[in-house]
Amino acid sequence: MYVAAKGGEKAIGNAHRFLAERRRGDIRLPEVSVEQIREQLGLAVDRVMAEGSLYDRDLAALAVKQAQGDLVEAAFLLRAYRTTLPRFSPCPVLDTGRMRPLRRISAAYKDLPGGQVLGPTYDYSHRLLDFSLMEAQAAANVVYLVDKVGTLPSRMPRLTEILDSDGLVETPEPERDDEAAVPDITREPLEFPASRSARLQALARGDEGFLLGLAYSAQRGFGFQGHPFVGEIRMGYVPLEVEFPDESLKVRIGWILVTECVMLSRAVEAGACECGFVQGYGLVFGANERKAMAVALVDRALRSRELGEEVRYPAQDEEYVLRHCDNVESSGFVQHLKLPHYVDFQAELVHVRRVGKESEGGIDEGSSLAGSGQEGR
Amino acid sequence: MSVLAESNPADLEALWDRYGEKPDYQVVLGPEIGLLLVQGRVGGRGRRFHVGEVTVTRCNVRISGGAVGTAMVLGCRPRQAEIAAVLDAALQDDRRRPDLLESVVRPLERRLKEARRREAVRVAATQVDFSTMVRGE
Repeated sequence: MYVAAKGGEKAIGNAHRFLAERRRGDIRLPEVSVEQIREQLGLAVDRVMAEGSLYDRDLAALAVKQAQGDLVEAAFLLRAYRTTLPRFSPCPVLDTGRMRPLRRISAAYKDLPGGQVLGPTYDYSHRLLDFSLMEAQAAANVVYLVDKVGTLPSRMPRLTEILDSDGLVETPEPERDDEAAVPDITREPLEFPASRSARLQALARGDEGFLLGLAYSAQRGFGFQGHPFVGEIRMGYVPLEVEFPDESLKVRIGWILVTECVMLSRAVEAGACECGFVQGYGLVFGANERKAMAVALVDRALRSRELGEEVRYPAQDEEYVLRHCDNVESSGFVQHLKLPHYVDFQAELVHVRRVGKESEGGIDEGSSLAGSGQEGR
Repeated sequence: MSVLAESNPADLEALWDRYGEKPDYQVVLGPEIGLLLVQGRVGGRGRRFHVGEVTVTRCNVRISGGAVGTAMVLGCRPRQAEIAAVLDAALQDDRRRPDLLESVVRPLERRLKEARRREAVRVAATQVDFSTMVRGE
């Protein structure tokens, strides 16, 4: 139980000044701009948007600058900022089938329609530090290796649509009633058992590190049996269409960068679903591929209960995962320990000293109270 | 309308500045910044779920002549929303429309198309061309 302590306004004021100076660093160097962060540290911006649960590249870049690169702190800044903005009513639905892709791969199917498109991936880089980046490079025309000139088909069907026709993959549950309230965990408390929609919302804004660890644990046997496969990963721009009420027309106002991952694995319990493959699904803001994959794996693990599989491990435990995946919440509670707990700690000291004295004093533990005259020191 | 919303704000502002006969107008709503709660579908096709929120700026204006223009753009862009709303209203006037399209909308549209084309070429260049390999024994 923390207590309120007064005083220290000057110390706090000075802490902020000290922080600002440290944030600025060596003043002989140019100050980094929010635009530079937005453009050149796009993956940091993407992570902050995903975990802040707010898609705005400029605000996320500002948060990254303000937090000196601490991305969890930056996500916190975005979360706080969103509480100051009103919500407008239309709830646009993103149709990832209409994505303008930057990247689209499948580990399960080599020759899916549209092909394997690598996009701007780090996957094949050798992870050697590139010291040429230490000098600013004059903007040069990047020359691409071309052996054929072509464009991609405008529509790339999902792998699941293809497997569907063979009845091999479960059809995602359609909505029974189109206006049925889609749960919103930012407005109503998360209750258990949670719906899949609530889970996916929580996971989309969850901490990448935590989810990655859980996904890894599930792969290593703490939650999965058998081997999951990447059915499809898509990363690209999805149109955001808004309905204008007076004119009842849908207008596209822009494009949102998202990453989507579908994981396929065998149903463990026969009869759990009428078909062979069960899906895990992840959809996150930004080019957060590792996160989308982790979300899809954790989503699959969390479906154990409804698929009749034995729930034994953390990755399958809904409460464990969903209550602890939000890094703003986790950080808050872990860091609250820094608040003054002086009075409580005094009580602890007294207790610890007393217990120490009692165990030093009595030779016979059982009669320590009777022999209390024997503080033999 | 998409073109106006999706354009680079600096481009829109520059072309608008150069446009000679800007109508007089009155702002009716906004420009105000708010959030849209965006949804995805499970598996891309199933039940909806909330992915997160997106910032948008909206604005309604009335220009002299009475036409009402409305705009919504992504991000915190009050100036862009206002200009887009005025253009939306002005484009409803058949006399102004051709000139506005020519001097503001089409240049922006060409820029967007060119950017998309450049992106598409680069994406296509990363498409894997598998050569069939004979399995060694």
